[in-house]
Amino acid sequence: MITKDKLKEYAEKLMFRLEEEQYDTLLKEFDIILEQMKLIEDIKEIDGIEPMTFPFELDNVKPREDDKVETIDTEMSLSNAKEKIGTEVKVPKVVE
Amino acid sequence: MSYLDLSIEEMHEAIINGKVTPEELVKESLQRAKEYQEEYNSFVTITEKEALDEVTKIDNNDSYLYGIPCAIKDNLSTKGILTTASSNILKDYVPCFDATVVSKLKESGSISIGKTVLDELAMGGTGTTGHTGIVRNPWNKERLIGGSSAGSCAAVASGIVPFAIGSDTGDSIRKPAIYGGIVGFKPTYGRISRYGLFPFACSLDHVGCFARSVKDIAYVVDAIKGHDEKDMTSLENDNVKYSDLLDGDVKGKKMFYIKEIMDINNYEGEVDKELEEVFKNFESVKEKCRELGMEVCEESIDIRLLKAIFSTYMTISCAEATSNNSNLTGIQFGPRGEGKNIEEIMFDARTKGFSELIKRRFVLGSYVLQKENQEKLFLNAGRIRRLIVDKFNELFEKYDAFILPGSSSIAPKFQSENIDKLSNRYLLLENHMAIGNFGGMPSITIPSGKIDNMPIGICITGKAKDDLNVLNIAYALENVLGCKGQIAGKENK
Repeated sequence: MITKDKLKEYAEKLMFRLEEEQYDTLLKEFDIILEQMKLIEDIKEIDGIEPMTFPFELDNVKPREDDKVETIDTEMSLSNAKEKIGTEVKVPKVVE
Repeated sequence: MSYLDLSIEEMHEAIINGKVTPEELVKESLQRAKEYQEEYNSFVTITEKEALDEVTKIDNNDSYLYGIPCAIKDNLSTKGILTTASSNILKDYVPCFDATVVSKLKESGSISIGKTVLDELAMGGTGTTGHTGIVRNPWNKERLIGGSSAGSCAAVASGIVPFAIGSDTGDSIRKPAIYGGIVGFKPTYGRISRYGLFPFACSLDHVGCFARSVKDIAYVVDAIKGHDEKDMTSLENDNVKYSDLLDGDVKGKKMFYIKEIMDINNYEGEVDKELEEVFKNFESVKEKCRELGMEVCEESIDIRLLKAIFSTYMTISCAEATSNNSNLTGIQFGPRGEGKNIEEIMFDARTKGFSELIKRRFVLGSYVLQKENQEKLFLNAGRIRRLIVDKFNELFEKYDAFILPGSSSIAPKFQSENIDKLSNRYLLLENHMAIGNFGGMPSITIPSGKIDNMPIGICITGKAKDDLNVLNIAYALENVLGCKGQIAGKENK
């Protein structure tokens, strides 16, 4: 049974909030989602089947060497920072 | 007739023979982009300055893409150019590197004229959820173009550019291509590097492209495919040039369609004029296939598996998306939120940065990953994915490809009533293209006709790594379907 409180709990785990009326919309949407999910639950002959996590076996995957291959300069690395002091990113104080 | 309306091959010849310059092509493309922007909203950013600068520097005139303008979906990183994924949470993000596909386009001499609108974070199929507004269908502005690669499709369909880059997780290239009357292709998983693509669902995400013909698609894929050490799922090079090998010789090829999807009796109470026309069109496509010397057979697949495709797709993709987007916190990426501690700052950034639709998809992802649901939903979706892929791979032992309509209707109107999401029409006909993502199979859509002057099309999907075969079947077929090279604006204006 899905309730609004449950939906809030799921959203909080992903660190965002919705408006109250948006939870109402979502609750209605879940009526259909749960029906759709039954289509998964209806298929019983799945014992012993390994869940598929990639489209096919990737046979050329090998860990790469831990080499420094690319670097970016200071100016570029600071280009997305909201605030900076010299060559450092300024962040808000969060430690009491 | 403008040179910009020709095929890539014809444009290339015109450039080489000095009939048109890359600069003229790029300027005309930019002019169209600006002129159509208000009508269709294809672009987040039109990169006029960068394009005009770049076109003076190119020198690789051996490449078929030399001097050819293109557009790039705004979820592919472009160094020094705003890349937003059409989301408020990335509205100011400027990457410090190019995606591999972007680097390869630059090496080929193609000139990007802009970054295109998508459904926010590529999670949607309507082209209506980007943070800069809805994308309209160039065939009819009251209708949507589909998504998520909405702007890339609209830019090609309206004749702004001859090709554009997109990404496809469930059908995000192929469905809009159907609605836009152009060709959409996602090759085998790993054929084109995903380095620099903002991930939605890594096990399903593909980079692909739009163009106005299969041959044009082949030229583009030749330029952007290839092994990339920066992408651990990248395939080894296949060392062939698709554009050289397309010959249209498909005599003796065998395709199948799925009985349960093409049985009109499975749509009782859901049949309207458009569905009837889609079925009629498919019959004529089958006939053309046979005239080309191909065999088209009917195969039966457990309808419960087929009806579970959409739920399986939603379960896997939403679950993967919650993880992939966990770095959008306002700290690593995105506008900084407000709050007294890190947790509050992240909550604020994510609450303000994501739209309602994205949050609803994330909640679904969170739901299927809850401890009590992991086994019965998330892991079972992975098991059903395997059952589906195994079944198709078994059929590929006998067949070269399968063929189905790409949609059950023409592009819907913006205000149309939502289709019943539990109907067979929705579950069987509207969502089967995700099969190609489950198995990483090469899959292409080509236009096959029109209903009320709106395009419809078909989808051809083949065995993983058999890209050339799929392209060649589509190449042969488009030559007899009469929809090759169409541009919406040229017929409507």
